[in-house]
Amino acid sequence: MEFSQKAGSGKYQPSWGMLGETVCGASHLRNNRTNQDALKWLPAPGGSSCAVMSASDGHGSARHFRSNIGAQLAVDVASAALIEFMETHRETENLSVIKGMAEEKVAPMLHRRWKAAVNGHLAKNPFTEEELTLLQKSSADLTDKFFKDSASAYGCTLLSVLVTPTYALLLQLGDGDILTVTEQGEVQRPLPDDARLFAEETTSLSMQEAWREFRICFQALSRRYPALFLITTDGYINSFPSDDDFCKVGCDILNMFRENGLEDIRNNLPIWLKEASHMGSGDDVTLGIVFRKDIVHNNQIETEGS
Amino acid sequence: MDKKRPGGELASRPLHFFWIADCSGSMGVDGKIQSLNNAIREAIPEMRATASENPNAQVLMRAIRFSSGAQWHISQPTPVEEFKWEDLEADGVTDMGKAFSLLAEQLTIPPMEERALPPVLVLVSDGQPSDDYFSGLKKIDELPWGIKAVRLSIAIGEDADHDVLKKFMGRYAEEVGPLQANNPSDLKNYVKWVSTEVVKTASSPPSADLEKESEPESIITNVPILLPPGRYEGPDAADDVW
Repeated sequence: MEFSQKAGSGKYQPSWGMLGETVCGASHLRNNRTNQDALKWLPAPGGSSCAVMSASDGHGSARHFRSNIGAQLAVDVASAALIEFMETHRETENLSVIKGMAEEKVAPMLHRRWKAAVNGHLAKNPFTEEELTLLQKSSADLTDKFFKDSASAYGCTLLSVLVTPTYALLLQLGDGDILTVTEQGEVQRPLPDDARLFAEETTSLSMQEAWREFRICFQALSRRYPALFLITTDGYINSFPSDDDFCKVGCDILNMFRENGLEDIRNNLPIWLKEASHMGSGDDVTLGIVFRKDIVHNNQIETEGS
Repeated sequence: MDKKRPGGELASRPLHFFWIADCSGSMGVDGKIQSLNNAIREAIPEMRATASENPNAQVLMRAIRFSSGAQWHISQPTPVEEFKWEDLEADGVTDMGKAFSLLAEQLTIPPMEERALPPVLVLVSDGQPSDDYFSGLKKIDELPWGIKAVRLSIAIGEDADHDVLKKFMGRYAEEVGPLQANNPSDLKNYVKWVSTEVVKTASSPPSADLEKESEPESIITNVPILLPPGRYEGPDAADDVW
């Protein structure tokens, strides 16, 4: 199944590779808690001319006691939905039409499907006495609220990147970061800032109207393709004392691709992320990388899967 | 781990802790001010021990005193490992609003870091404000870190103004409420609780989903604080001296 390239035929089209890692936070390890983050990427139809990657950060608080499951469901749902979106519009030549559809349809679709996935999981796995007892201990008031909307147990964020030969679609609900890195090493945040994401509070897929809270960026791609797309959960940026220290990750990884190659990054990524959590935030840390294969040292070509 | 990792320096997240202490003349009656001095000083070793259990948070201490006017008692963010408590003295009126204004100046970004953990603000008072406390409080409530801070209060004695303390506590007024200390033992226990359990919770908070501002009944604090043990058991009347 080849992606049908309508616009820009005959022009340079990059091939994309993907890799990433998620590690359990140092503070979670100290408290015998599991990693609440999830990361997924899929080989998209069209081979390496397309890429789909998603990350999610489960909230992990007492009333979000299944947030690790919610995060996994989120990346599963997003991966499938974005491939479906890409396939649905693969014959569409007018990027403005695709942009309009992306901005109008994708967020409600992701939210609806995530809620359906949560309800499906809940139907097969009803809340246990132990889970409800722990919730009750945290706050009786929370328990009352909880039963009005049991999806809150699965609360999590979602960050996704879809790259096709003609456009990139970036979506984010909640905290974390999506960065792009140019060939020149310039690190950019294409999505608008959300000043409410502050002091451990975040928008969430478990909110009643979560689809309204998505931030979306549609980028037409022609000639100037980013060298990298990076997706990170907030445990990574919170491990650095300044935004500059964090953004340096982007240009450093670009240089590492160029100088050391793919395997070097793949082998060291878990070590780097564990070190960041250990010496920084203590939170779970996830980093997903969508990279242009032509930037890799010696043009190492690989097929990756999550 | 020979390879240089990407990115700049790594750092734990700062947790700013503020004591806001009433030093009005009435605090000099029945040994209240000295009990407060003793309680804070005696809690320091346990506070350090609590902080040391979480190397991903750096606890930084400051203190404001207010009576006739308000001043910084400890003005520089001081790592809890270096934190020492100099005795407060009681004299004058209760210019609580001036203390709030002073605090608000330090809750802006900068000097506060956006990546900091939610700061802990603990107000200790035995009376009613003598100045326009509301205008000072409004300055705190207009700041993102003022809104998101963990705001607690300890009421010393029966003359403490619970309405004012609740207004200071904001989102924590319903969840925790003012801690009523009627004797030195109560005060010591509450100071120890905020110095240990609250610091422990605030230094490693989970994420929480944002609640809609249009649903005030569903407002939930970003750092859920469990009530101190014995909070509702009431003090032993025989020990009540305040």
